[in-house]
Amino acid sequence: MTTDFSNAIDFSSPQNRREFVATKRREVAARQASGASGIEICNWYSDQMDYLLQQMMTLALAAYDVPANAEFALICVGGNGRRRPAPFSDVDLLLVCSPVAIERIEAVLSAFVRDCWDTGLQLGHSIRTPEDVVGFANEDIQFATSLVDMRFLMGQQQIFDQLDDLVEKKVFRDPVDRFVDACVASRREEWLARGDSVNQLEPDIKRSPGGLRDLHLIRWVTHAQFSDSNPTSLLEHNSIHAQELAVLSQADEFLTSLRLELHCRAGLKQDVLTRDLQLEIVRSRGEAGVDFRKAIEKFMQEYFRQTSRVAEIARRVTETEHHPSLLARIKSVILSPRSPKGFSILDGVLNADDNLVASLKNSPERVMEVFRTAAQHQVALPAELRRVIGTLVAKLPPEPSRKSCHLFRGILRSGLGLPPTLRAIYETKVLDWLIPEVAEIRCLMQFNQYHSYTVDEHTLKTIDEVVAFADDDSPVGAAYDSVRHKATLHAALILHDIGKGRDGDHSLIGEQIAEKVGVRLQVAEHKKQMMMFLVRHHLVMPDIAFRRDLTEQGILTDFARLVSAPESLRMLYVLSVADIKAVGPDVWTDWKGDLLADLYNRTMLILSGRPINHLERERLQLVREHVKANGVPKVETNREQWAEWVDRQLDDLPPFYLMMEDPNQIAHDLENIRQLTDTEVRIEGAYDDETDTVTYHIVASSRYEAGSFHKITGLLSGLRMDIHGAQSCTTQKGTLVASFLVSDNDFVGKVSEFRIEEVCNALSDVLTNKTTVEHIFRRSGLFRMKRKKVIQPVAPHVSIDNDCSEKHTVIDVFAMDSPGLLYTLALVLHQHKLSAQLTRIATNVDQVVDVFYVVDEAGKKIKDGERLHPLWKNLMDELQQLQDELTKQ
Amino acid sequence: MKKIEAIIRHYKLEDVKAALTAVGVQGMTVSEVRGFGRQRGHKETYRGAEYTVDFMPKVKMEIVVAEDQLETVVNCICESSRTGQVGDGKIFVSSLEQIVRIRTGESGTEAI
Repeated sequence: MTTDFSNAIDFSSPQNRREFVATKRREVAARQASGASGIEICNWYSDQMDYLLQQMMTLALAAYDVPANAEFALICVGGNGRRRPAPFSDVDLLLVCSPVAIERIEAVLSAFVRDCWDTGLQLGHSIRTPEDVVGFANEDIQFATSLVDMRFLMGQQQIFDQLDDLVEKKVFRDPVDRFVDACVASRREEWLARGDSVNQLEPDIKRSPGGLRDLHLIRWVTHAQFSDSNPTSLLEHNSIHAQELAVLSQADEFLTSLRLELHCRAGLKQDVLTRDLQLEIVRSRGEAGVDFRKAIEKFMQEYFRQTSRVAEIARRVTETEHHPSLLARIKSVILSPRSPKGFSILDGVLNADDNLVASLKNSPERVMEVFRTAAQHQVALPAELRRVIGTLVAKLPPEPSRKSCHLFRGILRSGLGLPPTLRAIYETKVLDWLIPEVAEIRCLMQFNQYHSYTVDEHTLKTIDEVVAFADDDSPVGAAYDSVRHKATLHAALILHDIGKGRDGDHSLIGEQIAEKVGVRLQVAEHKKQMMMFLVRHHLVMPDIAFRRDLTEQGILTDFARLVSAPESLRMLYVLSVADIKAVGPDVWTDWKGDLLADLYNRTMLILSGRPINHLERERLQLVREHVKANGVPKVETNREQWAEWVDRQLDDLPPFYLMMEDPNQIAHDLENIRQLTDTEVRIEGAYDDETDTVTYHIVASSRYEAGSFHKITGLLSGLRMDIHGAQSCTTQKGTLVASFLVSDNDFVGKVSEFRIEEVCNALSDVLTNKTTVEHIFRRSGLFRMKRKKVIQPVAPHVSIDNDCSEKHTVIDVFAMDSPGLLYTLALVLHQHKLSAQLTRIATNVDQVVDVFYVVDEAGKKIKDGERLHPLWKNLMDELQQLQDELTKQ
Repeated sequence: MKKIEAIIRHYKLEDVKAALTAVGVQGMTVSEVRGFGRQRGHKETYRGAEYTVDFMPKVKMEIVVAEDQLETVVNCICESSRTGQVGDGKIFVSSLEQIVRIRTGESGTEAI
């Protein structure tokens, strides 16, 4: 390309200079629009700017009568030095002169700088002596890297040559590793600040990962290693392959050309490829047509294709050049966990020996073992190993074997090692082999102002987020710690947006895909169902938390019915938080966190009958202190012995009871337990005039514990009472501690002492087997009780969960309220020889949510499917029968 | 020109937004805020365990309208955000001296 400066222009006029710049910028736009090479246009524009700068400097020298060969050198640095300025880039200049000469040309330099500003050029300049240049470059890596491409423009060539030598010796090679490490660290910091991802929906084409800065990084590292910043040197020294060099060259042209277009379209220094500019660009290329989304997607996928390859090569080149110190290698050998056969772990990197690498070709299982080992040991896979695995993907069998699936599930179970390993599995496309639908979300754009990343990147970021919850002292951290099926949760996170980019509701499509994936990966049926549930409902919790009134019991009951079990609630909660946090910077706020935690807490209370774990420790300590401080033994005893006895009892009592009961009542119950004889039952009733209810507190010897729950509920129902709430538990020694909140249908207003005493006596009789509950229940006037009219019946629902409690099988029952319901349920449990050790009954208008913590005759969970299904069926049949009776009325 | 700042219950946002759109309001700014007025946070008591929540989650809407629209918009917010319970929120109205649309340089009611 030629440069024509034949038309003489009076550059002393600021207006002429501004016009000169404006003309050249217009010409850049015209050349760019005609399809000329971006790099060539930059070179041409650089020549124009050089000419302008030389003219201005000549005028400034003449104005102060200083000869053109005075002791200074005007040097282009950074992008200007590389001859790659974009139309609105800063003009980076370095003026170097000796300390003596600086005084002579100070006025010249001031005039030159002023003229540049008057011309409208954004000047990035400094005036230094050669020693200052070296000193500052060793302190500031950004300044140092700008010197890699410095280029002489005017003044004394000798000054430039001397500086060039000095910088080469004292900055780039003093020693080489120091400069390289500083370059890489600085760039890594920039990657992190820019979201650490190529796949951003509005990337900065210069600074985002994979952008022009990564090409510059490769140049800087190459220069330090081989004294030549051209990446061809990397090829000559076998650091990259010929194909990779071609990739770099192609990306250089693509990104340079795109940057020119952004500057020209925006008319300013625009390096961010905004959504508006994406649309403008595809429209200008006539590609938008009817479906502009598809056109933008195609354009951006080309951008991601180019930049992801640049990022990968940049990362690999900088990794390759990193040599751990001898000390680090010795420490690594001594302190590392024992490496599995065929592997060695050095300085946080997993290396495979040649035999193992060779064996990968014939065995997908070996490939999966490599990933599992990396995940287990929380170490990175070296770039070369990742590359080798990447080349093998096309030859993998159509279906993953049972062992491969097993190994993948093992990877999903791992903690801190999961995010980097999953990224490696994704980058090598092994994830596409395991889950073919992943290919559909690669670099998939999201057309909303909410998301910052493409679907695939957002998905990978959810895994980064969820793993960070471990040991986090927050509600979501506690919930994540309690999740038993972490692999299922992690799989659901990978799949939660897999339905995007297709026609229809992505949650429903995702659910169908999750089912297919579950089959392909040979996931157990109940875990597959859980995965499908989480994918389908992954937007429900934020929707309710942010848009609904959480104090409305109906909303909570419906949500509790949807999630059914504490484990699914925990998983959905953790998934929702990880999903929001991975949307982009600043999307997650405490405001959102509080609302989600509130919904979680309230629903957990319904489902499990107990507040969530993260409050438990503090609460138990408070109860312990309160009981000891306020409990007064009625029987004279040594205070110290009494305190020890209290400690033992509190250790015995289930946390459920200690979390839910008033500390004063706990102290009172303890005193009753203390005085209780082997044949005794103690019952007290208290009327509450605010709620018109009576609470019966029962403490009974272990000999009366068996079947006590169904007896009490039967008796209370038989005496025409509505049971609004019930808690029942046993100490480890079998002593029954229960409380029932009831309203008495035989009384309007205050319930008399006489009636309360009568009920207490009846309870005592039925518990001590003096009479049978069936007798009272049948004799009662249940049929006379006024049944509520059901307007909108809701189908009964029973969920049996063996995951959410260590010692109990948890049964959640959702049903319409009806007289005798609780007794019916209690009787079914009793008939199945189950003991309800903890229960929670909650009634909301006409719906009940009852939670039973049950064990079998041996005090164990019921894991046998042959017992669980008949139990579930029996409960459902009874509930359906009660509901049919209600709707018939 | 008037600026309306409405502090409302967060779950009423969709209702208010829909109602305002229906009366012709074209733009608004919404932010997540916390606060309490006479509601003074709520105290939840659950069987002896008390959890005090000082600041309730709310949303703040900022809307700029011409003076002749003020009453309609304020009424619209009141009606669509009211539950009748303590904590429904408040509306603040203030006068604006000038508005400039940055992109075009238009000012005054043209810029609303």
